[in-house]
Amino acid sequence: MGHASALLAIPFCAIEIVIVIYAVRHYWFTLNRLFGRQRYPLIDIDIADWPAVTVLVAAHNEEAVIADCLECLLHVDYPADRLHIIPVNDRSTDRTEAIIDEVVARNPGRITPFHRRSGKARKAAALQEAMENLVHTEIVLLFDADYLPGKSLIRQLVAPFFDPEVGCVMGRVVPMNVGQNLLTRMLEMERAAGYQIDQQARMNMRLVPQFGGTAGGMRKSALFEAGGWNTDTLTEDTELTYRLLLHGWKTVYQNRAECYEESPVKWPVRVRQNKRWAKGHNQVMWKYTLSLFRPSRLTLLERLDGVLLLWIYAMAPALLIAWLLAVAMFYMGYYLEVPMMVLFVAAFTALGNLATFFEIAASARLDGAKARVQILPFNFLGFLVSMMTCSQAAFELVREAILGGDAKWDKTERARKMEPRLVQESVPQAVSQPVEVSVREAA
Amino acid sequence: MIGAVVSLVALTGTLMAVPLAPAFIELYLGQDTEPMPVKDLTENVSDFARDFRNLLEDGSPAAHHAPARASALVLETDVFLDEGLFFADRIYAKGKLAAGGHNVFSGVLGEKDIDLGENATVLSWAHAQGAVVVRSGSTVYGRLSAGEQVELGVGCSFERVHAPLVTVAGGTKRVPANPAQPEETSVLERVTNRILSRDDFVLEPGERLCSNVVAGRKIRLAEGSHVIGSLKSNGRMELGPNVRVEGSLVSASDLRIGDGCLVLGPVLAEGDLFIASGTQIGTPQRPTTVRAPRIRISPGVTIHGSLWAHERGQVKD
Repeated sequence: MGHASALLAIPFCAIEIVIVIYAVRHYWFTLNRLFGRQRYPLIDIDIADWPAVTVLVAAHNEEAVIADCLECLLHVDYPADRLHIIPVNDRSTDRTEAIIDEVVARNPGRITPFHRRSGKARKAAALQEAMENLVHTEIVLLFDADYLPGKSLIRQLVAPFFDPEVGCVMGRVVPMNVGQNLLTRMLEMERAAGYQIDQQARMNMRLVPQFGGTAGGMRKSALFEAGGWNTDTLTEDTELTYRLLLHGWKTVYQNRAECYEESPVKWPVRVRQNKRWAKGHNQVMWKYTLSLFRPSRLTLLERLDGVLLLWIYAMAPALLIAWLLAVAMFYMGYYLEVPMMVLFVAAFTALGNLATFFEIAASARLDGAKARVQILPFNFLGFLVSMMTCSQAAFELVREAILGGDAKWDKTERARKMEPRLVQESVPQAVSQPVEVSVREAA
Repeated sequence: MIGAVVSLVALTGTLMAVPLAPAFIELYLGQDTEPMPVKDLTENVSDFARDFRNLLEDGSPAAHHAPARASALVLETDVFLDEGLFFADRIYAKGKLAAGGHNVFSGVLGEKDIDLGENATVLSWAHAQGAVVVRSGSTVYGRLSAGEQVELGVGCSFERVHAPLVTVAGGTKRVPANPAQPEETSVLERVTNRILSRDDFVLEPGERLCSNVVAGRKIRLAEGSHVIGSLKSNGRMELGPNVRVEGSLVSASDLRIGDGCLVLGPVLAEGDLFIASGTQIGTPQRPTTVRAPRIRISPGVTIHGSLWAHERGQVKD
């Protein structure tokens, strides 16, 4: 019995060490944001010879939101003759196509719709097809249909491409439906931590900011040099981040390039979204972890951060396993007092759906938020749900790898119920009427 | 006995709930549920001036930049201001404005030209629809902009400058032997190939290269070399005399641009930026941005567009 429980202590301590590394990483990032030197090397380009840019709007059954996004894009502060807007309507079965065509008809020559009626499912496949057939510019920006790009956003996202080392750009996503329920409030704080702390700290320390697949963009030449979109993965954005990195392209994060999005409002939707992210992320983890150790231009810190970012979703099942091991060892009479104490502390500071509670509180401070930080204790609930869904996703992935089967792609359902005031502020006054119509339709 | 147990449970429950009280109160009251405001970065360097004009014309503090205080010194005709004065109120000059030395201005808006005089200090902003002349020894905190031209004298300090033409008095202006031909497309679109160098990258004198370049360390372009493309160095970057770059220059460290160079794209440095005499950045048709924490420029430099020193900009011989 004693020998068996001692054997359990080996994986237990290994997991614990990894979790402590993540805890240190989270504190390092947060302290860097609070007290370190902030780096925004590409943010202040206000005048330049702006290149032509294509904006792809990925839409699959987006009747509730697509019109708002297109209207926002039509009124951005970017030379109109250099802005090509392509809504990629991917096999929608609702009114998405009709709504896009209405907006196109109202704005002749401004939008080129791409109605995809067949072909492989998944966003990456639709984007790949659009890029091969319709995109003729070097710079391509991506938005999901529920996003509301602000006036200066396109310029902020294009500016980093004046740096020839930059292959990919990511902006900051800001949830707009914060006050809908407890879930949206918690997600808003988690999102803020992910961008305000994690992404910007990586930018400050020249690590590996992550491309999130929307509110960002890329060079077409870099994308095709790295092999185009991978249509087999659930998180094509993370996968692209690593492929570009290994091909010598940097991803940069623009913290001030902010864009509104809609958070999930129902727990089942959130759980499905989280599971998809976890599965996709873990697919990328298996594929690219070893590649990061091969000889390349990457610095040691980039390799280390790249690996830690890849393994972040694996920490949820790892923590669960560590807890089970701890319980098993306890009942087998093998109690590692100090390591278990450390695990207890580290577990609650290192994890929490990509953000620690410390990070969340710090990001609220950086954002100048007031009373919203008071709901932080509820984020522990979100942490538990994330841990369970990420663990389930990891175990499903292992099962699928052994028994075969394809990971299912779940679309995040929209439930836009935004205050007209916010739409009015985000969408220019001149187009407020049609936007109001679409909001009412959604409601 | 039962009462004691109930009391103990109630007390324990209360003590556990107390730290959670703010969370429940905020959840119930929903005091802070508005989306975070997204930043609008469409602002222009001359926004302060525009807001000031709006304030004078219709009394509305048009934008967030404009202080509510409306007191201003309005000059109806061409005026010459004596030396050594302190203007706490902002000045609105309908005609030409010229000033003697050692004046301190809060903010100045000129509908025509402004000559701030020698050793002037601008505390917040200055804008002229025509030209602004900042003479030697002056310091401009904040924003300096003009509809036509800004001229900086030797010994000036600046932060953010914008005009179709920004010149530095003295020195020798560059007259490009082969002026930039306006192209239909941005160089960012025309040149998509790149050279990746793990270490230093050096271009020999007179050499011509049509490619973007990314160097792991330093970049050095020798005299008379010509690059059609953009350059990024993760170490120091140095351009020798008479180099021509038809793209952007981005340095993660210091950047030094030699005499008589021509750069058509944005110039960005994370360290010190030095621009030597006779260099031209941007063209009238294609203005651009020059940005670094610390910028030092020499007499005879010409910039079309924006010049932004986040910590300190200086004109030095």
